[in-house]
Amino acid sequence: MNIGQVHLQTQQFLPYLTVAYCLFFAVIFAYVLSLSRRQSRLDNDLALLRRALDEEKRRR
Amino acid sequence: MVRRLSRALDIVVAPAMLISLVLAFLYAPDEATMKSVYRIFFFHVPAAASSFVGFAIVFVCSILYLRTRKQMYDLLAGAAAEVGVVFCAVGIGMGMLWAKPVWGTYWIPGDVHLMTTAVLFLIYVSYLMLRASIEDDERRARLASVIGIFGFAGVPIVYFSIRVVQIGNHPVLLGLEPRMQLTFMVCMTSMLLFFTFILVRRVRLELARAEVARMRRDLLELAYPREATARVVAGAAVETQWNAPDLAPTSEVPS
Repeated sequence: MNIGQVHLQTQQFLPYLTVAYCLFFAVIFAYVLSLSRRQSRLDNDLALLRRALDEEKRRR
Repeated sequence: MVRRLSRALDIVVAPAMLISLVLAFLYAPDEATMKSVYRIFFFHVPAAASSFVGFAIVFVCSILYLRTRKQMYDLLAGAAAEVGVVFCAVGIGMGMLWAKPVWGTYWIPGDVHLMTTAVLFLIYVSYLMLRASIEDDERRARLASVIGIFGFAGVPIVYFSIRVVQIGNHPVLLGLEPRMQLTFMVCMTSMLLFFTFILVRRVRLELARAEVARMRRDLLELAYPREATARVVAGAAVETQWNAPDLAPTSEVPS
């Protein structure tokens, strides 16, 4: 691998490795969680609208 | 079909990611110069590649939207852009955390690859901002498609920046040891599956949102046929006239 200039100091890289993987999973799972919340909110809206639509049709 | 694909991915993604982590941390050997820290590479490169796939989907769907004017393509482009931006952010973040112990700094302003990647990220952030700022569906889809097509020019620029110009420190992938190569291929496949899994969830969200909008319109038309039609024709935001969750009409809608 051509990695350019390396200033690596032994034993100083492990925190970076850990933080990098934590960052990956934290960001992705936060995003997936927000998608799930948005989805459940929309599902509630859909159920409510379906009920309202049925009631309106029955009324007519 | 979207639901079925989503269910299949639910089963496959978690084990695939687990296998990738095991290979990246336990199977792949240390790199001679960078020791263990190079293992960031196994998720950093696939995350960046997945974001490119997302931007490519935006590009293709934008062209298809302008050709056919089908809302489905616009919906898919918006979803792919959002997921692509998330993966791009993760790729940049992981790259910065790799750069600090190896180069001694998080960011090198003169590095062509880093700068073009940052510009690409900002292009798609602005694409999402544009989408969020326009209410009218048709106008939003048309303008977003234009940006989606021209914005994609950034992807080949980022890809070839390290292969052609070679200004800066960013490495070019040359040759990997066989165990590293296998690990990289598995990580790339899992990441693409993970990306597809999230994209499908995002598309399902958009489909549900479209369904809610459609049902609100139906309900409004049923309750107030003439007024609702007039407002829809005038392009007014019909949904805002309802007070969720009891769906009672506000004073703006004549009873």
